Amino acid sequence: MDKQIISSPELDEQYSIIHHDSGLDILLWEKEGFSTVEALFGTKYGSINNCFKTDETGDFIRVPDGIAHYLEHKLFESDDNSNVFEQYAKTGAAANAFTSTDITAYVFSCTDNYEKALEILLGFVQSPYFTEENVEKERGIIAQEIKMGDDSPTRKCFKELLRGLYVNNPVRIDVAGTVESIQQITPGLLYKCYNSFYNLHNMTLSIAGNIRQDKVLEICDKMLKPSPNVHLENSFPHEPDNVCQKRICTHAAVGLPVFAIGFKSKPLSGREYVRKSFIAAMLLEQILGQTSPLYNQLLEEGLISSGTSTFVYTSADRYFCCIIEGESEDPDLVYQRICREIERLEKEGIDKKRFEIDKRVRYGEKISSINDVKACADAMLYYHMDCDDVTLFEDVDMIASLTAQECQQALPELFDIDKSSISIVTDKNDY
Amino acid sequence: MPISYKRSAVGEGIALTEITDPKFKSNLISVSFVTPTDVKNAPLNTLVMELLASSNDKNKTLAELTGELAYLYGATLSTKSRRIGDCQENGLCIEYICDDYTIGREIISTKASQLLLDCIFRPLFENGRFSERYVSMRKKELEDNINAEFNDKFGYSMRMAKEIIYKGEPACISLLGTVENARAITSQQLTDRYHELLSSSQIEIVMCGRDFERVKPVMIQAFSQLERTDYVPVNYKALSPVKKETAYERQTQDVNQSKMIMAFKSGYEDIYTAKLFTALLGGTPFSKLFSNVREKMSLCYYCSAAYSDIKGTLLVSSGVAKKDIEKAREAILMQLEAIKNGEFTQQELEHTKIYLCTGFKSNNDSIYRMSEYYTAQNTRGTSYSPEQVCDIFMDITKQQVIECAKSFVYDTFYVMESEGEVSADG
Repeated sequence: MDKQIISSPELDEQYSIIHHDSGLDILLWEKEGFSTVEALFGTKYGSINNCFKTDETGDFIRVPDGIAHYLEHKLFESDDNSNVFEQYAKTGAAANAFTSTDITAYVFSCTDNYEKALEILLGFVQSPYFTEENVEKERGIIAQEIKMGDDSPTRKCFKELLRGLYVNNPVRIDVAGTVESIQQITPGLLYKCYNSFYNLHNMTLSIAGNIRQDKVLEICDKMLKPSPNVHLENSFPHEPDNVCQKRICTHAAVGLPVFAIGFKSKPLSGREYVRKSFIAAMLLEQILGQTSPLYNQLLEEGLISSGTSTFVYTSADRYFCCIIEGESEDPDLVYQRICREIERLEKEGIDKKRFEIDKRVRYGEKISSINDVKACADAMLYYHMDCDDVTLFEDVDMIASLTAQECQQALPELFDIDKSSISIVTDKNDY
Repeated sequence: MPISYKRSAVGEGIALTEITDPKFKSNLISVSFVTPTDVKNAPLNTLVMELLASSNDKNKTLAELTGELAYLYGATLSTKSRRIGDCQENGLCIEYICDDYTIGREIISTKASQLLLDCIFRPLFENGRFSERYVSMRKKELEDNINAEFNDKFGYSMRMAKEIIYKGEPACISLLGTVENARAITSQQLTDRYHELLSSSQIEIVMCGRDFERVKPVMIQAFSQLERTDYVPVNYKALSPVKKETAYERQTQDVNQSKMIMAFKSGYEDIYTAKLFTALLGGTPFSKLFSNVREKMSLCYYCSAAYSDIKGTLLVSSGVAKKDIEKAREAILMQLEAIKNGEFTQQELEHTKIYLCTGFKSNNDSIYRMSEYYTAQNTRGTSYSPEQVCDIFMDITKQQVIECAKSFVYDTFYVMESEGEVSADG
């Protein structure tokens, strides 16, 4: 067992990374004074991992869209006919799970009895039980979940934007799949996916809060079942630099048109990935952040609302795009104004004073996030799974070292108008 | 639990709640103006808060104000406008990092609190009224928000249901109003309402975090000087009367999934027993509704229960396929009957208690949740810590839960049906 301590004297915090003999990486953050414990048991497996091979599968196999998410639902059932929530009920823990494009994680949150809750978490995730009957039963529930997602115009708009930005990348496929694609899911396929991705070498346990490291490790020693290396290989289609479609307009029952604008750039990994993610976020702030001239102009003109948001949507090695989303009576005009602002910033340069202030904002965000046990557990997991050797506290120094010149240089690459798309959801058929 | 909780009077109808805990690295100060909800003032109250958060006499533009917040390590200034039963709570909150964690221990707490006070007491006025520039901008935004309400199908269906559940009561009033009303609002009306809020509303100041030594005297000084001659005390508890007959309402909308909301009402006095009963019915992942209606019967994607102690109302909401509406409705009523008949084990009850206790104790770990938790305590005139509430839960008996369940009367059935599918009943 190999242990690494990651600490930050400025933030007065530290956590540990333990490479457990079973193959699992364990991240532990003892938070003094806090009552809660938050744990995530995650695997590097999401909706984009739809073509893969292992020693068991032989050749590459293509699995139905939405299967990672389906698997997440089904893992909550056990062979003694009880469901996992009933097991957790004894501990008071609130349990949940999520599937993203590249991660599936099982989580719990509790204040007492974390030891028992951790045993349940490690136990059920390592004990799949899929039958024809229980797989069939889930189809209706997941179909309802997909339909509920379709009722959110914001989600629909974002989903369509990804379909516009990407030509082949599986990020364009919805995490839950479609009502049609989930019909093809069988217990056999679920086991194939489980055996390929739910291997401890491909997984991480992140736990923070009112814990004792030695107790967590004792439970891990008892519960973890070492798994053999299955030589997992993912296959991803070639993704060209260009976007698939510049403008996508779909219809739904909306009171005000919803829009999402995306700028596509090359996927990155490691240190460069983390650094560019910060640069992209800071450039978004320059373009349409709340302190930007354009944001305030558009707001005063009534073209956007204060709910307009910006974020960087990324997965290491797989995709990297900068997103602006909101509601507007005239999304096309908003898009034009944003493009003009990018051109202006390229010519005139970014606002250096605001850039320096934005560094203080990022630092403040970091401090605030440490107040939250869940945010701490989440961040440990994401950094470990997505950012290679970059640790959670390094970003404070990384932000401090960013220069306005570096941001300026990255602008044409991260905000290439030719590689941008706009998705609009409106209920006006003539829009 | 927090190291200390203290509530004190700062002036007539002005209370200061201090929740201190040294584990936090950031602080929250919120100032709320609580008034009875009425049709005329509800959107005005909302707009006044938005205007106060747009600019002030020192930071004359939104860009300047957000720039100042950014400089304070990204301090966040937010507005709130929400219902508490028949009352409306409007306010401003600021969150900022503690002085001990700024670079070089720069003192920002006094600047952050002064910024909040400037927004409240020194708004940007032109000719004695709110600046027209921001009035028209915020009015347009209000209009957009009204138009966009339908974009959130769950929230929209809940609002539509509440119009029937609380028919004739202030709790059914839209806080946004109508587009026509939004367009007609004037700067003078907003200015008058601003002064009314300062002089007549119940004012709740909450400080949560640590190191308020520098900030507290400034806050007290600012509010203790307010003239409060028109102060109107608010009465939070306003039980919703039970309808003579269950109201049924079906609306058709362009939605993919039908949203069904059922309301049950009771005047049961012990709110913690009612909360426990609600959780047993539909507030946990092993509740009657989740484990039976969703998991075993696969009738809906979500099916959960929530209880408002102030209105004495239990809401069961679910997302269902149109063809399953009737089946789901019957299944939900059956689960309620099961509890009334005592068809739950002592173990189910104990697990529900433990689950609720986890939720209550976890409030201790967030400045926002602590602030919300004690605000709710204030509305009940109590000051129980989360741990004390857990002790109350643990003492509740099965018989009390049955009695509480029996007191709830089926009041309203509302469904927002999808247009496409065919329902089982035709």
